[in-house]
Amino acid sequence: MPDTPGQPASDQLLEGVIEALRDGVPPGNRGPERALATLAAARRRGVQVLAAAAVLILALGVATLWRPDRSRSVRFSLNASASRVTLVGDFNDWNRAADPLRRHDGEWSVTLRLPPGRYRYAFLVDGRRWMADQRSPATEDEFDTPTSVITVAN
Amino acid sequence: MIVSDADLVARVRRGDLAAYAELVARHRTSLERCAYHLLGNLEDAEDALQDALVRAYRAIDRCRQPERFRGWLLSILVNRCRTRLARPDPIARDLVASTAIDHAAAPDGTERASWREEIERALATLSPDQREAFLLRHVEDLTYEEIAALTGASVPALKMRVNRACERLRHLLEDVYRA
Repeated sequence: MPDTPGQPASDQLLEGVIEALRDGVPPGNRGPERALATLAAARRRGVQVLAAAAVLILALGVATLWRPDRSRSVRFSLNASASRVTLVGDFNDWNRAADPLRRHDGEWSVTLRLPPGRYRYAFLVDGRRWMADQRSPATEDEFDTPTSVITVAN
Repeated sequence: MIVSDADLVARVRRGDLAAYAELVARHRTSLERCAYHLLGNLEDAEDALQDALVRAYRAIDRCRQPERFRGWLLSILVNRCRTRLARPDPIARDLVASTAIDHAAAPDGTERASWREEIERALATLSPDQREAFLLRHVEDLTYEEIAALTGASVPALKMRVNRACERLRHLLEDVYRA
């Protein structure tokens, strides 16, 4: 690799390194295909699971109705200036459309029936701003968004 | 008309898997390159990339700046690579330093292959933090602010890591380069 007059050799060296690194990736990484296949299969399974669940519920019939329900009512609330607030968390697969909060006397709230367990959640304000629940403990979140955790007891 | 990343992300949020496939295809080269150079071998890079892409799809509602989708995706990928590098598996870790060199070498032993081989060897001697910062800054062309946002490190700390990585690469490769 010949030197170019007027340019420090070390800078040329680094440019050569960067160029080689940009071009020098071996072909054959099937990670993207595997990921898309996984997601497509999960979607198909989801449809199958829904169908199976429907059949199961019908089969169980009335018996399901008189089983003791261990779910508890949990009220989530937030005081925030906003035009809309939704609740997202492990209990609704972080689906922003599933559980909108309603405003009453300046407070946003929603009440859900949750089975016993530990759930991570957050409020999504105006579709953009993530807020943790100041009334619950904070927890780690790999996406670096404010997240709270709640435990529903047995 | 070119569809923006933000538009595709909006379609993915409505459940459009084809839009996600388009996003993946759009950024594939960068993602493959990043995973390979961070982990040093194709097998781990493939697993990390699959893992990152599945996680990103399931967390697409948490992408706060869809117009910066690539940076967000890279942050998830870097986290998956870090997790793999932190595995208590000494055999796997040794591979990081050795197999990258195997992949870099061309069968005919050309001058270009030899140069790449030396580069991979030098890159493997950097600390994971230095290697990550150098690759994101100079190979993936992210700004220091973008790298800080996705790694959690401060801009001054990142500049130090990149400078040290550059110094080490210069030191290790100078003789080979002049030859």
